[in-house]
Amino acid sequence: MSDTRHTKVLIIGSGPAGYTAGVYASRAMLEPILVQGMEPGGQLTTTTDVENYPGYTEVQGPDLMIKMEEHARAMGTEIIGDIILDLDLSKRPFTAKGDSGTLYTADTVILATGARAKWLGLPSEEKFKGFGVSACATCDGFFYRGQEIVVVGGGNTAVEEALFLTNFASKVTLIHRRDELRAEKILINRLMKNEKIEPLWDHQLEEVVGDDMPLGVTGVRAKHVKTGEITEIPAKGVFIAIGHAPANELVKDVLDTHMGGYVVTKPDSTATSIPGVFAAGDLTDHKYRQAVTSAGMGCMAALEAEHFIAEQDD
Amino acid sequence: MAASSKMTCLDCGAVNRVPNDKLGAGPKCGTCGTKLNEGKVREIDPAILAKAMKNDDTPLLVDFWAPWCGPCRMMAPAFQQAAGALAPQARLAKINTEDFPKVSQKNNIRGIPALILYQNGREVARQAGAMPANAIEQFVRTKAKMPG
Repeated sequence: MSDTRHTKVLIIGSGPAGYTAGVYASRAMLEPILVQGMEPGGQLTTTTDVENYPGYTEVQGPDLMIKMEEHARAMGTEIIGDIILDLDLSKRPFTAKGDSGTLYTADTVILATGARAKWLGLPSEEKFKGFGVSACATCDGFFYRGQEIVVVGGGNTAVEEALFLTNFASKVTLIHRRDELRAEKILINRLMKNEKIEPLWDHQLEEVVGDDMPLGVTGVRAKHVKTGEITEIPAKGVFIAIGHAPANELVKDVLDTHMGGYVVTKPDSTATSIPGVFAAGDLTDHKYRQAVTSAGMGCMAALEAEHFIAEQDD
Repeated sequence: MAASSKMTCLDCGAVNRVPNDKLGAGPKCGTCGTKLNEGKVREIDPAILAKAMKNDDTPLLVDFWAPWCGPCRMMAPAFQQAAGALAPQARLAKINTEDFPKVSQKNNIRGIPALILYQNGREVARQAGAMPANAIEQFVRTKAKMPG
């Protein structure tokens, strides 16, 4: 049953880096294959307004990703809804095993797997995922109209989610393990002015509590990081916004990584420690993590892959 | 063993009984003539869902979604692909939770996309969060009792 597909450029990931690599590699007549992965469109699909992508004063994240996908396809990228489970970069051609059973072989690989939301790792968090515990306020906020909600985190995502959730919730408690936020000043100002939001400083989430029949969250237990004192907060929804980690599972044992798992690339380049393998976007960028920087790195990766292939052919 | 499968017409709500060996022959609703399983995702309302849930022994996977949910929209092509792969043994449908907010309460949905698999009058399995086509197909094949 298994099918083998060869390509000059295999792009893994479907965020701005992946689709931009697709556009450039297609225009270089390299006939790239792009495998979308677990979350087609990537992190921008869980956002609402994007106000900092050039050319768009305001665009919805999912709409932007649909346009990027259409663009890559129109240029000739073959886009496949599959997940790469295993990647062998030890010899060329590189091989990648898809969840569909397809075996992809490739002269070059562009890794654009991005980053994903981090979870706390509590058993109670896992138990109630989809039943009150969420990492996507824009997806699930609607289900908490008039109810009390907890948001966990202290960065931009946490503050943005807390603000967004006040459109629905009667009250939002923001639990943060420090006594100040790491978010942008403009966001902190908005948060402090919002009467529906109550910050709970110096606390961390100890446990999500809820009912079994029907399964659903009823509240949380938060622990003071200094005194150990427990505070119980009633809530129907718990939104986890404690940051993102690079989705490096396919390559973390074979490529050099740093700063908590981000793939290392050569200076002014997307080249990784293996010739012919390039990395772009949030998988490698621990600093900027913007749609536009990811797109730029996707472009670089495709141009570098083109150059690499040309050199091999010589 | 029943040699036939019950399936509610997702268009008019009439209950049809189809011999299992005719599942692949493009059976149509005896009442309204709509094809019962074309391998396409049907947008349904809560009334049709209630009938199908109650009556069908043909597995029915329902995607509870909303237009504002990016992962839901991104999963739509995969869901359609899975519908094609699972026909004629199972059917896939979707319900817009923005248009029908009560259906979310009734089904205890607090996050989307939520995929709920129904068979023989009960919820057989549930998956929170988007999945690619192959995983959707495997979810149905492993959790439901496939007819035929």
